[in-house]
Amino acid sequence: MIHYFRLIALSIAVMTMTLLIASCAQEQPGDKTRRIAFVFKVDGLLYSEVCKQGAEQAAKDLGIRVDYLAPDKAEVGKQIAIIEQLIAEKADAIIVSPNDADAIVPVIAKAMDAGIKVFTWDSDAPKSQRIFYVAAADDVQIGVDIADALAKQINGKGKVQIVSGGRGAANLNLHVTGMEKAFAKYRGITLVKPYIYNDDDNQKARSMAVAALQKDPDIVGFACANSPSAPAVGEAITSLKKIGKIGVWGLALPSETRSYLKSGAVSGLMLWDPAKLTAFTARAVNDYLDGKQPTDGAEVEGVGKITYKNGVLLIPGATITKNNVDQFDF
Amino acid sequence: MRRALRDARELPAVVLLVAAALWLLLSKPSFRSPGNLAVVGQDAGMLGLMACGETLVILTGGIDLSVASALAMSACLCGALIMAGTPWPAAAIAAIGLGLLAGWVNGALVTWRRLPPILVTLATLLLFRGITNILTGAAPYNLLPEAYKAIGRGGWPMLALVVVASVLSIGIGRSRFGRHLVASGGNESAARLSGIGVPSVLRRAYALSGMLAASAGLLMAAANGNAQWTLADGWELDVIAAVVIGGVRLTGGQGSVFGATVGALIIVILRNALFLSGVPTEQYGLVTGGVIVAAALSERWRSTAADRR
Repeated sequence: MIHYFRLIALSIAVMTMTLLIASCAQEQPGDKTRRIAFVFKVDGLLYSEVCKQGAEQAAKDLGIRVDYLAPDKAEVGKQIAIIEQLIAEKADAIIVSPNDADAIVPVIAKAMDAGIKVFTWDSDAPKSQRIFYVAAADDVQIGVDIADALAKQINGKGKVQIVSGGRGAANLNLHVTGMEKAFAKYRGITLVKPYIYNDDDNQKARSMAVAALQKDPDIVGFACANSPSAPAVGEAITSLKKIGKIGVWGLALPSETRSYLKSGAVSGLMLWDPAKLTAFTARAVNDYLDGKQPTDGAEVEGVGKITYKNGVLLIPGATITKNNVDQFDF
Repeated sequence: MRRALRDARELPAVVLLVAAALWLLLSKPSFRSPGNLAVVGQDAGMLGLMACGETLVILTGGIDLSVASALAMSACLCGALIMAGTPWPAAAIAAIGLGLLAGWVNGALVTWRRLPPILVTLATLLLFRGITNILTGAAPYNLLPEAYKAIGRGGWPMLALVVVASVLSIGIGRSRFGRHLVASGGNESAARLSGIGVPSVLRRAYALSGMLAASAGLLMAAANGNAQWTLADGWELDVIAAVVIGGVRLTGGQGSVFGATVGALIIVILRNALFLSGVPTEQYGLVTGGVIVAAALSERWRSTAADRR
């Protein structure tokens, strides 16, 4: 028995070592190369993995060093530590998606004082000295777009259930605000109260959607603010054999929703390509370091028409339906 | 008769469950609709399977915090194998094997140098989920065949729970392993002295817990049409709540798989009732918390009543 145990302990140790070595073994290009670093909220989300691919693509395209860093927990303190390290290493630019818009302000000031250009992307820190913020549409607008698409599908009348993840998530609450704002325009639409908060848990999201349709059988649409919800509601509608009778719009990754879009259980998604957003951010920052400011209204190849106002640089989002979902490989 | 009733640890839970179910069936048409009963059965089936495994571990005086992480790890293995072309029954068996292995690792760590179970399984809670996150790259496995997805639908999860709970209930009462399991948790040194191989009993209890968590994971991934590393994140607390509400003594030695099953049904049915009544989700914790306090108080009452005899 002891032998087995040693074997297991040994294999665990070997695995740990391999992971450590693999994570340390990133190549270190020469000192002359321009270096920009992305600091995301937390490691290990599919969204983050896709952003990272965009950063890697940008490094190749621009011929500069692009680092993609993220703490193991979504804590602003850990992001501050990463930025402190980047200041010490004299990176050329830092692009952060802060976990806390206020707590990040001092370390951004410190980096700017040290001559490092700081930007935000994905999430902003409006009170900081960051040079500009890059995002795809804005959080409220995404909610408005989801609500408008759903309202159009259901001809502006009937009961609609709003579904979200956690009650404290700032960006989700902004999506919900946008939805409320847009639905208010349609006299015929009533919002079911209370809204569903499913804690981003697939199983809860699905069973709550089924229960919602028992509680209010006349629901004609779901507006989903968090990414597990649209596929989970799609699964619920599939199991209840109500495909085509209920509109479902939301914000989710195509890979998680593709089969439901194709079956018609989910009507469509409003979103952006996180890889494209990240690659575009790297390009805009690289241009800025070269002395080129972004131009409002410019047509950017592969991205579309950008807007640049008051330090906020927006790229257009995309509507994804069964017709174009296969173009998105994330 | 009165004594027998007082000694039935599951009694308060059964009374609560029957009362709640009757009230809901009679007063809420939305509760008894087939679609709703199906999701209640599915949620309770998955939670109940984990609670049955947890009960085995808690009966030995231990605790298994890693069940939900073992669930996600096994479900992801199943999803990955299916999407790599493995027939789903083979993938399911491999996933159950991984759950068994994960549980066995817990048991081995607990018995080797007698490490505290809460510490060991807290570590594996983080390790199993972390490994799953890293190895899957957070990607979902969601192109699953209909034949596999069907096992998570309808009444299958509930049926699985009924079968497992019945087999375990009979097994614990009649098998040598079952008697040793209860004896190890009741009084470990007495169990050792009477020649019970306590370490091997413990390892088997943890292995069974991992295996049942994996089974719940197979059903959950099938029901959602998606295996992903975040599956059942945080469910270990619901599992422990179900076990405690079902009258299982948290320090070991007393309680039953039947009680834990009733506990799981209570948690799921109460939540469903609150949802159907339009109670906002942020208030659910108050109700579950209240039921746990009530369960703890009834346990206290029972033990003082027993002391007085």
